[in-house]
Amino acid sequence: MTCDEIMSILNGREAVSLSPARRASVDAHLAVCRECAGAWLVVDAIGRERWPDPPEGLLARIVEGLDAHGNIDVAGLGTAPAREIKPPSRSAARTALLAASIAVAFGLAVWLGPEPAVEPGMPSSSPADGSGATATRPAEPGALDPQRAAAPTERPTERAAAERADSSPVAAPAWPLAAYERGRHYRVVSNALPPTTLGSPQNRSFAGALPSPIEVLYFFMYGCFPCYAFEPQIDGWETRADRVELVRVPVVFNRQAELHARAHYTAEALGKLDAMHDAFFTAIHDRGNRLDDEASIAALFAQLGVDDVDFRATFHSPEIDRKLEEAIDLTRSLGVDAVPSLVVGRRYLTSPSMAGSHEEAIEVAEALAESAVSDAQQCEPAVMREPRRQLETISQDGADTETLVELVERAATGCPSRNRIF
Amino acid sequence: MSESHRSLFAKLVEPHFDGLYRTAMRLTRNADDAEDLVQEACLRAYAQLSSLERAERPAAWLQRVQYRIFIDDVRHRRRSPFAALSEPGNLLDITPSQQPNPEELADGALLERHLEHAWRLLGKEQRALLALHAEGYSLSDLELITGAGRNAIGVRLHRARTKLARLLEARLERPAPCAKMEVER
Repeated sequence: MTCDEIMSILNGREAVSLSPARRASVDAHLAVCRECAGAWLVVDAIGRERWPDPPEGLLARIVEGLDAHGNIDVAGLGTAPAREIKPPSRSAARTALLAASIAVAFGLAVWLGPEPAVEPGMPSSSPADGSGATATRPAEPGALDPQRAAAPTERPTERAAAERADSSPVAAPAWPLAAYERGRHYRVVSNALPPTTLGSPQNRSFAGALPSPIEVLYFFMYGCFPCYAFEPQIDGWETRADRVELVRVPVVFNRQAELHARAHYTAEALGKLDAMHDAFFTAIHDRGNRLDDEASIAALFAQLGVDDVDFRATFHSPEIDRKLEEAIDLTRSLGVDAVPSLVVGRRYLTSPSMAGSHEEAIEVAEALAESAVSDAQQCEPAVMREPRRQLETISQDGADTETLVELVERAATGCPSRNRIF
Repeated sequence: MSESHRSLFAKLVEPHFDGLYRTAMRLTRNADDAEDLVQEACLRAYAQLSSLERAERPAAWLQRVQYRIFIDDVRHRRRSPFAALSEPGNLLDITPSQQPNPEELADGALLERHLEHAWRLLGKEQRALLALHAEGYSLSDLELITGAGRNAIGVRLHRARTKLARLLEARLERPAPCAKMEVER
């Protein structure tokens, strides 16, 4: 029995119909293969979950409310061959699946061809073209809302902002953060910023227009399992996002994290950061190697092809000390007290626990980046681009609080994000 | 006219409604969110009534509509079960004293509770694949529902399972070390 065969059994849901001999073979494999044993356990656990039937009358209530939606596609309605509708039985389902697999083969062959098409009656991924061709090309599931049908992959935040702008009698600037709540999904970082050489060069100073791409500081810790679990989303975002520049900042929350942060900057200095990053997470979380002393870290660097002398010289160099101090200062000044956290444009902080999930943290961060650009484009530049810094400068000149508030309110007039300042 | 459309819609959806709702429950793990998701799916399906009527596999057709909403839509964020992550006892806040003892580990209820938490750390697509597969949909069905290829679905399902297994393992065996720590230096 191989891992592929186990995967095939699980994918085909054949576990319940295995012969005793085959089951014994499966058990033998599971006893020695941790990954397959985990996958098997998960399928078993999910399969045992029991979910309630829908509340009584739910479908009736939904159907009752359908009147409010008059924009329905009725082209060809009633032309489908009559068929008896009844709950699928097991045997019927098997027969249907056999027939369906043939239909799927043909459907996919057409689907992948030059003329986009779908299996008869399946909701299409193509937008409805409004040309009355719905009889041959079914509309997108989102066709209820023409805007959604036209842009099926549109970001939710863009959609929310667009809806907000459309519903306003006066065309107000779309606010990218309309779908999110300050204090819940994100917060504004408020401390004065230290001078730093970390991150992208154009973000080291706020004296000027907000640069593009927007810098996103990703605060993480190698010993943190949620950070490890967040890596796929962070990697994916880093790859696909063209408007943000992601900079990883290892936090120094404890002595082990200090060692790991030092290793991070050592790898960066030696041009081995990508390899070291993955190797660290894998060693700690997959292999149980805590990497909590210099010797074990040196051994890992040796596996990456780094000479021991080079490693130790760099590991203890003043340059790495300075980077470490800057990382600590940056973490403190931005008020980062938990990881994983994302700081966008050194203005906003969000995290999976604030946003709700890994994906939603990325969505919030993207909206925050849009908001940062929106601020730079739409608000009075002198104050709005760096309100804290401006306030501190003015404050040092002796202005009282009321004067400062009045000044900022005046400058913020017309700025869609002005409420975030107060 | 409208009444006849609604009646036809109800007739077409009713045989598959329980499965649609159960899948929504698996996806959201919350009755309110499941109702919202199913309702939105029905609204969109109603807008394409003629396509639904022609669908050769109406159950998969409806699941595809619901799948797209779940993957794309942000409206369920507000009452997302993930909000519970910030509450005591969540994945980010677990402490060594909360680690289960061997007797607890043998308890199926404990596994279910940890499964609940680990599930929430999966990506939306991974959750959707696992939920639909657990609901009885084959790889062929999943091809039509998700639009991905059969081989890709098989691999993604396997990755989703192994990731969930790792998350479960971490939940059961290891405390998360990173919740709001103080800087020692």
